[in-house]
Amino acid sequence: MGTIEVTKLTKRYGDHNAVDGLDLSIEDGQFITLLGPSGCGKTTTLRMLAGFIRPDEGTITVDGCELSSPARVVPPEERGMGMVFQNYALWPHKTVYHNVAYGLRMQRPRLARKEIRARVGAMLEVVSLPGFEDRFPGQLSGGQQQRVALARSLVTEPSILLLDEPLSNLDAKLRDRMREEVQEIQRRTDITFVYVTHDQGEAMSMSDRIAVMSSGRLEQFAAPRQVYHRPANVAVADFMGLVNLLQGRVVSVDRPAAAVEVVLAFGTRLRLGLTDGTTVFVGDDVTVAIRPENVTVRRSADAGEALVADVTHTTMLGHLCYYVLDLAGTTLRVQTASDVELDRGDRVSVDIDERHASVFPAEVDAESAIEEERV
Amino acid sequence: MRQGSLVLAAAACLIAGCGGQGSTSDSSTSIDDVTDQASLDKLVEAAKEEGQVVWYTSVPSERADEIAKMFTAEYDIEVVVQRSGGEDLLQKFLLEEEAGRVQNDVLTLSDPAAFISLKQDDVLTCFVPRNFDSVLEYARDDDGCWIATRMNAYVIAYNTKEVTDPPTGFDDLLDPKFAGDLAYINPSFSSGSLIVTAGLANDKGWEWFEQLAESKPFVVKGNNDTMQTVVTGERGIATFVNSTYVSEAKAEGQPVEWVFPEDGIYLIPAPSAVIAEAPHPAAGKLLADFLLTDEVQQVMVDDGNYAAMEDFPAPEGQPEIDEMKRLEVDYDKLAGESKDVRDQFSSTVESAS
Amino acid sequence: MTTLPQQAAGSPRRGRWGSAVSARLVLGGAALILLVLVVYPLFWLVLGSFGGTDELTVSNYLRVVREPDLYRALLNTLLIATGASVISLCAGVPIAWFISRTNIPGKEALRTATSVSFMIPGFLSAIAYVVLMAPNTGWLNELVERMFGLDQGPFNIYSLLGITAVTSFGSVAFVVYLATAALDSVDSGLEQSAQILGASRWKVIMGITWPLVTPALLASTLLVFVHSLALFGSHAILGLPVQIYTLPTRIYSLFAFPPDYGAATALSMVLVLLTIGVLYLQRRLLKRRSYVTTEGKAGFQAQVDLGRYRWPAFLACHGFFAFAAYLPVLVLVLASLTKSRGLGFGWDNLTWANYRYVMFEYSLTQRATVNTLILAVSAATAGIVLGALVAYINLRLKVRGAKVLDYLSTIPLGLPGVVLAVGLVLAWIRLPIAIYATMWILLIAYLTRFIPLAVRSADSALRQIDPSLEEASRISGGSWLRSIVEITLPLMKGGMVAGWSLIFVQVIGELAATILLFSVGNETVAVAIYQRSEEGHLEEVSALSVLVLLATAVVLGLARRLTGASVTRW
Repeated sequence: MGTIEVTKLTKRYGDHNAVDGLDLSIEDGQFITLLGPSGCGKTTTLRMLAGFIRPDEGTITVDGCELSSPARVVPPEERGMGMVFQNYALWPHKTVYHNVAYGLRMQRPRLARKEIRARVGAMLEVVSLPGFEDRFPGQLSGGQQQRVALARSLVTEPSILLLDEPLSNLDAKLRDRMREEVQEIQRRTDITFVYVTHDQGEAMSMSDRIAVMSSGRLEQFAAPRQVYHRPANVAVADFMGLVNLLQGRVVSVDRPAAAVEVVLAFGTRLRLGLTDGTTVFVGDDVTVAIRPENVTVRRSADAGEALVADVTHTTMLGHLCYYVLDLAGTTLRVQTASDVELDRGDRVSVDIDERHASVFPAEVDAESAIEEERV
Repeated sequence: MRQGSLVLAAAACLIAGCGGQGSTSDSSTSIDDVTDQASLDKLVEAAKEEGQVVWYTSVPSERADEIAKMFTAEYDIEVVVQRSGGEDLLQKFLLEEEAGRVQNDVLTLSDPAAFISLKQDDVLTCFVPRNFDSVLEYARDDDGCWIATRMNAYVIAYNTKEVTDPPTGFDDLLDPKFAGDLAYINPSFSSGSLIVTAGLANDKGWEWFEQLAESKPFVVKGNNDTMQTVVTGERGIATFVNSTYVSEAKAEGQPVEWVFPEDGIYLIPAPSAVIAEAPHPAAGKLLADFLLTDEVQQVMVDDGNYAAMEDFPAPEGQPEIDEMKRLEVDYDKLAGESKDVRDQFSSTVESAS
Repeated sequence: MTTLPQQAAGSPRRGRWGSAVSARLVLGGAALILLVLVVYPLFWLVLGSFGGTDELTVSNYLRVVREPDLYRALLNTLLIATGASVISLCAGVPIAWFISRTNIPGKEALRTATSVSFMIPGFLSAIAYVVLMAPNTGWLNELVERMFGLDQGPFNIYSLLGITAVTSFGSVAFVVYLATAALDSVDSGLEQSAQILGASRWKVIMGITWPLVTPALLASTLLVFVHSLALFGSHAILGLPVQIYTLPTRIYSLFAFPPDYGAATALSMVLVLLTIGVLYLQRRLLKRRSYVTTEGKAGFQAQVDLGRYRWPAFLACHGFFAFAAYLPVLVLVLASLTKSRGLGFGWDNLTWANYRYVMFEYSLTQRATVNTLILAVSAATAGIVLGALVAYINLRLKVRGAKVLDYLSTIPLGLPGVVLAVGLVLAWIRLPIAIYATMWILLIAYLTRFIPLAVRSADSALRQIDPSLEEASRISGGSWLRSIVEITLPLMKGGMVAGWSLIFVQVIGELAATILLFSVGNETVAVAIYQRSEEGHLEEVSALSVLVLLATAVVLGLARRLTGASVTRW
């Protein structure tokens, strides 16, 4: 069992709210990712889940038992959780065997030595490190250390596993492999995983649901697909990957269909669906978010096409190409398959896929606020 | 069972330190002075009941141990000897006294001025021992609050390899030919030097020190450092030093010789006193009395010190007291102005450097 | 693999009080002990500086600041402390690096030399240097005079430079010990990753290695500086004869009869302020960055091949130790074998009699040896445990007032021994329980005096251990106490053994406070040495000192071997 209920969780450092009234409910056996730029409060949240930090307000309840509140925090060792640290936190003075066996040795009533040995052995099989028992962490590669850290946190069979950017120290190739292994382990053990990362690719590829955070607040909590395609706001849209944020004005509203018609700065009219909870009125300034892959370009100087732009920058990524276009003074980022070959200075026609564009009420300086957040 | 409880009772008695009968206080308070055999017997009895005496002394440790053994052999009373440098010991005693936790019964130092201050502060017990009248009269307090145990003579010393034409007196020391060759003990760190410095300032005036400063004396911390400096030849001449240190160096075969200055000798009493709040008052008095016996005085003379009692010969190689010109120091005056003397010395000597 | 029901997350009943209470008890207890050890005697000193219990006045301070001598003494003190810090750093850092990171020949010899340089008590080292470098009769001067036909040798130990050098010889070990412990715990993977990125070896050292050991270097510099502020023995022997006064020698002269406690304690407060100021500076410098290095993804230790510089480096290190350790020891050994120094060298002046005397005839030797061993081992052990806990409070707990503890735990180092001893007497003599005039007062004195060494060593060791290592233990089910014992303390081992050794050695040589606090039956070796030297028996003093040095070296070697500190696998 590993149902987590987080209610109005708040943590302040001085007059800065690291976590600000967070509500989150996590079902048993799910793989949840806390995603956001550094400083968004995701690690603080995770450390409150682990019991390392006392909340200033709010509660954390697991399977109906209140574990954290401003008045009382059940210490980490009594929560029965597991945790994988960003730096692995392997004990350099203990062998792999003793690192992994530690949690079992701590259990009360005491486990028989035989049982400990058997379970450590089995666990090392799971992480594909049999025969490494007597090595010291210093003698292992980064990926092997990562696996030992996983083994150590899983061997006690916790109902909840907390992972704090566990893959960020690995190189790209290893990271991809470990990603799959972590997912595989989660599927096999059915443990609730709470995973912290700032890498939206990692989050989308592994999670059942993603909690996007910024400035200590929960921006959106939804399945990866929804977070990506139907971001709750500009901040989420921006954080989930490269996005064009275009300024426009509402010219008509179709409430029954939850759709609006927007005129962009460069004159194009788009008919766009409204995200839940977004209300706009005719005449409002809005921001339209369009992902680069939802813009199609064709090399064509065909007169009469609605939009024509100039290619100002090209980036070839192998399977994909990125282009930066200048559309009557507005910068537009575009992604195409690599077989579409364009060069700097080419004139192209542009088509925006209305189905995947989102519209948000314009926020003053929304973009610069996000930029600051990232710094 | 009965036997067991008896043993227990005995143990409890031991722990509590209870004696055969009665307490020790009434007998000790009644003994002020030892004038005859009867009062001595009474003192011995009281002291034995106390069973122990604690002696803070700056007498060299071998000598102190020897005297302690003699005392124990005579009276069968244990002597706890705390031997240390005079300045350290005095400081320790003052702190204990200030806190109201006096640990020792007898204090033996070589600084009469300090004892005059201590007497004024009512820290000392006045006590007249058997041989009080035989003590040199300038080496005792009239009320018996402190009485010298030995006399320290301060002499000029020089290295015979380095100096062929030694100085004869204090004025001779200022001769430019000795410039850069003098060692002087710092009066800020040595009570003996403080007294001699005060005496010289009185007898010769501070002008003498101004001239001394011209020859850039090497200002060391104590008697021992002075002797080391002279023995090694780093400096050829000790302006003054306790004669016992010289006699010991000579006995070791070191190339040193002393000069008893023609101006006279500073002969400084090194007093002992019984402490007012002594934990073993009777034994303390008994030890103070014992320090002024012929046996102990002879130990002092053998060690190179002058005895505190009359009719003892001078230590080997040193002039008899009646043959020397003894230079007086006004200890009462010094007791009040020791800081001024130190400050004057350091400003005079430092100003030249 | 399914979850075990009894291990389910929400079962907080088990040992609900255990962890929190033990943490509070242990840490609160440590904080309380520190307060009692330091603040209680300090309170009496501060009170004394303001005129004592009767009426409060600032007249002592006014008297002190009006004294023009104060400023010269202050300047001298600062010059000596700064100079000693610079010399110790310049010599100690390369030596530590050679020992920890290179294939320099004879590392054990270098470690031993470091310990020896530290083991020679200041006043003995000063005496040895008088023998070597007194302007007229110093052996080295005579050697140079004879070699070059000069009238006057070039060395004069009675000078600011001489005092500074001798001071630094006694404190270079602070740097070597702490820097070696830190370097041993730096993951050389960090260095190598920088090397792979194309940085030259020199750039790696300057850019990666040194920044990582900065806390240890700052800590040791602070120790050297503050330690030098309060030294008395060597400064008195080398400075006073030529009127070079320092604050400690000025303060000592105020204790002469009749003692001026008010002015002495007021003057001591200058040293307290200096200590606080230096610590504040260190804290400011450390604040700029986080220096955690043992993160638990520990790599390994690679050794730098010095190549053709192996032997030059060897010579340079031992050249330094020739002055810091070998020559003073040589003087002591020679003096211990001579009948009398004034008689010069020759077969007829050689004797074993000094050793025979101090071993079998000198009544104090045996008792003092036993006492010293008991005191040094217990003070070092209790001190380092207390120091580790105080460092833990300061670094790991976000508690108000933790910083105050940190400052308090450093102040005793800046107080001259006699001042601290006076504070201790005033503080402890009044208690109804028998502490004064027992071994306990000495133990308390040593703990108080040397707790700064423990706290600073533990602090720099703890700074290099990532908190996540302990958190990993907690979340694995280990209680707080268990985590400390199994994880944090073993990882601090290098720094802890270094701190233990520092205290152990300092206790053996401690004289300034001991001389006021010892009583019959609990004399220490330092007292025994001092008494003989005070009575002028330098040859016997040398013999006793040589024996003490040997014994200390054996104990330190055993301590290292037993804890395996020098062969720790990271």
